[in-house]
This record gives sequence, C-alpha cells and structure tokens, in this order.
Amino acid sequence: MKKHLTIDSCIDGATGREVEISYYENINDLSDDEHFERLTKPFLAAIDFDGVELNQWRILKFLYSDGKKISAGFAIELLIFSMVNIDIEPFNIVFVASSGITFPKVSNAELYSALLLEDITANQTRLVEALRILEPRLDSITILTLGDSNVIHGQIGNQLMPLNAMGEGVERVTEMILAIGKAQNGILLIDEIENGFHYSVLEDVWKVIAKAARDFNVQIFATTHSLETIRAAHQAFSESDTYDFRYHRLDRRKSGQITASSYDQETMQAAVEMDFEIRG
Amino acid sequence: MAQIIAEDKPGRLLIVEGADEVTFFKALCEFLDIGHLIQIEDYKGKDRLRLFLANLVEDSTSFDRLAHLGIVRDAGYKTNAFDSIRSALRHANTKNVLNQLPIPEKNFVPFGNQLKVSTLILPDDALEGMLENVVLESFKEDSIIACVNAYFACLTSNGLALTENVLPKATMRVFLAGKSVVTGDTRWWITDIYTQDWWSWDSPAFDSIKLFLRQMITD
Repeated sequence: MKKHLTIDSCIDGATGREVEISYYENINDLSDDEHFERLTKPFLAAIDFDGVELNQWRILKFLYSDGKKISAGFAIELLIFSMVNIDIEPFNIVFVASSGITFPKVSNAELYSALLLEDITANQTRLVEALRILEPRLDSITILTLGDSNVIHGQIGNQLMPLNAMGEGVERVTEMILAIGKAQNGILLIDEIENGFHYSVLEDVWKVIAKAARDFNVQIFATTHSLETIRAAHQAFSESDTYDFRYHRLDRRKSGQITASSYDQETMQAAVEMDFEIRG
Repeated sequence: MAQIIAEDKPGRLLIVEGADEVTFFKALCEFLDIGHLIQIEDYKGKDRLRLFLANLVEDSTSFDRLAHLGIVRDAGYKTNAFDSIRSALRHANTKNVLNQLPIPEKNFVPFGNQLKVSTLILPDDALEGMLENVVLESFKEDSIIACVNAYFACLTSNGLALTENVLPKATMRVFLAGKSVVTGDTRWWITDIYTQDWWSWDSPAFDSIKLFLRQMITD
C-alpha cells in the first residue's frame, strides 16, 4: 500500500535538491536494488505523522527531480523523537554520567528536597523502596545538615549513615531516582547504567527505574557495555505490564559507518534463548 | 555466547533445523573437504527460523561478514516449506531496513548479488518428509530395509500404524537396531552413523545436497 504524505518542504537538506516523497506501509514493496540513506532533518520537519502507529519500521522513498531514487528507513518512534528536537519545544533533559555526576549539577539533598516538597509521602516511599533492593535493612531516609552541607542519610535500626557510605550501588540508585524526578516530563540520559551494581540486582534496579520513569513521565536513554545489564532490562520489562523498552545496538560497519539496530521483545527473547552476542 | 558469524568464520552460513541436521551437514562438509568454508548453525526448530533470521539482521557486525546464507528445512507434511522460509525472510527484513536479506524466488537456486540466499528442502521440495527420508533413501539397497518395512507393515496390520510425521525417525531407529545386530555395534541414533565403516556418502540420495553445498562455496 502506498500513500503520499503532506509535504511542506521537498528539499534534501544534504544536497539542496528537490525531492518527491512517497510513503510505504511495507518494506517489501521496495525492490532489491534500492539502497538506503539516512534522513536529514529538513525532511523530518516536513512530514505529517498523524495516525502513524508507533514502534513500526517504515520506509520513505525519495525521488529526486533528476530521476535518482533513494529510500530511507527508520523507526517511527525515533523519528518522532527527532521531530520533537526540531520543534524546539523546551523540555527537561538530565544527564547522569558514568562517574555518578548529575547534570544540571544539583546536590542529591537538594533534588530530594524538591521531590519531598512536591509529594512527601509518595516520593519518600519511592526512594526508600528503591534503595531496599540494595540495602534491605533500610528503615527510612532523612536529610541532615552537617556544617555547610546537607547530606541524605539512611536509617538502619537506631543508626544514621550517609547514603554514599552504604555502597556505590545505593548511591547510584539514589542519583538515578532523584534524576528521574528532576527530569519530570522530559528525558534522562544515563551513561554506563550498570556502574556500581552487582549483577544479581540489575533486574530489580531496572524495575525501580522503570516504575519511577513511568510515574514521572520520563523517557530514559541509558548506555551500557554489559550483556548482563541488557538481559536484565529485557527480563525486567518482560515482567512488567508493558514492554516499554527498546535495545538499540550500535555497530561499526565494514564501511566505517556506525549504524543502529533496534531489538523488539520477541527478537531480544530469542537472542537470550539462543545465547547470541547482542553487544555492538 | 557468540556472535552469529565470528570474525574468523568464512561468511558462508548454513542454518539447519536441529542438532541432528548439524551433525549430518558437518559430517558431509568434512567428507567434501569444505568444512572450513561453511559455518553450520542450528535455528532450533522450524518455528524459530524467523527469530534466528531477525537476530541475524539485527547483528550488523555478523551481517557485514555474511556472503551466502543457506537455509535448510524439512519439507514436513501438508505445508509449503519454501513459502514458510520466504515468509521468515520477509519477517526478518521488517526488523532492520539497513540489513536486507534477498528472498529467493525458487528453491535451491541462490538468489541475490553480493549477498546470496539459497534454500534446501529435505528430502525434496516436491516431497513430504525430512532428513531421515534422505538417509533412508541411501540405504534402500540394504537388505535390512526389507525387514524394517515388513516390521512396520506388521504393526499396521495389527492396528499400530505410525503417523507419517513420526515414521521416518522410527524407521531410522529400527534400521539402526537391525544394523547393530549385523555389525555388533550398539549405536542407535542417526548422529552416530557417519563415522561407521558401513556408512557411505556415495549414494545418489546425497547428490542434490552436495550440489547445494558446492553452490554455497562457488559464488
């Protein structure tokens, strides 16, 4: 099936040439000799995506005015994300570096305080429950002012201990949950998400992160080099009500180009069962 | 855990239904002295072919190494195996637009340019059955076969007829039981037979499979 899209601009941003754009429901409508090229941003801004289903690969076919044909493929969900960027709508982006530093740079105590002001019961419970994955004895958390610093402490029995003294994993989960709260209705970028965690807790870490992300309406982009982390994410999201997770694998091609592949749930499950290497 | 096509592999990938087929094709490739030219993997049953192929196209590093993909499938019963393979290829091609597998128009005939795909239906795309039918065909002159057929005819006359989809494997087992009586060899299963003195790859029953494998290495 083929239908034309409403196009405001038909200029290839890379070459400046005029193009005609066609839309294909099915990749198999393309002939074998057609090759693929990446879309450029001016195209994305011009396409009307009303009614297009998410999470489906689609093909756009470009016919240059000089007769040359080019096809491009991409996931609609990625495309819409790109369009959000183009739209220049301001939205929240928070970054958690592999070293554990959060940008914009705000102290954990300050982030936690902001969350408590928003909803003290829900957000306190959320953080305590998340941290209990790593420290089951944790009763509660509180902020203590020590000298010039405000520091989040955990209470275990009748003892108070700074969270950063409870281990790297506790500190990392704290940062992530607080960063998700900070990124409300926006995007959180986490570099090397596995850092600081024992492999046995990774699945539970994903579960609490996923829950917090849904609660705060945050989309998370996390990077990893760890197969255990990828598999744990797949397992965690498979057990949730919705599999709102995609693994995007980056490979450096023979040509030197880096390309992305997106694993859906079924393909990921098969990769796990067949014991395939899925790291790029 | 491994990449589908490792760096040191030849880029000619033969995928087969199960472990028995892996053993058969590895033994035949060794006999033909092309074992080092073809990588053989198991897609763990016909229902998982499309999932294997989906993973192949998502693994761009392996895909870049792929020069020829051979797909072997049992013809089965009351099904169109070739159409089913084409459907699995089409499914895989929806997963990654950058890595498209050629979809053969005809069984056995390699299709594609730089990357080729070919399919082999066993025992033949015009017949129903499986790998065991090919192996049994190679034994058709063996005197034990007459006894085996008489045995199953006897079962049938006593109301114990086997369904067509289990008969080839059952026939193979009974044949090997008979062979063990003759040879004193206690091995019972198809994966054990290719190293036996009485085994031969010279039967015409294997001719089309040999041709298929040679096609894979001559592109």
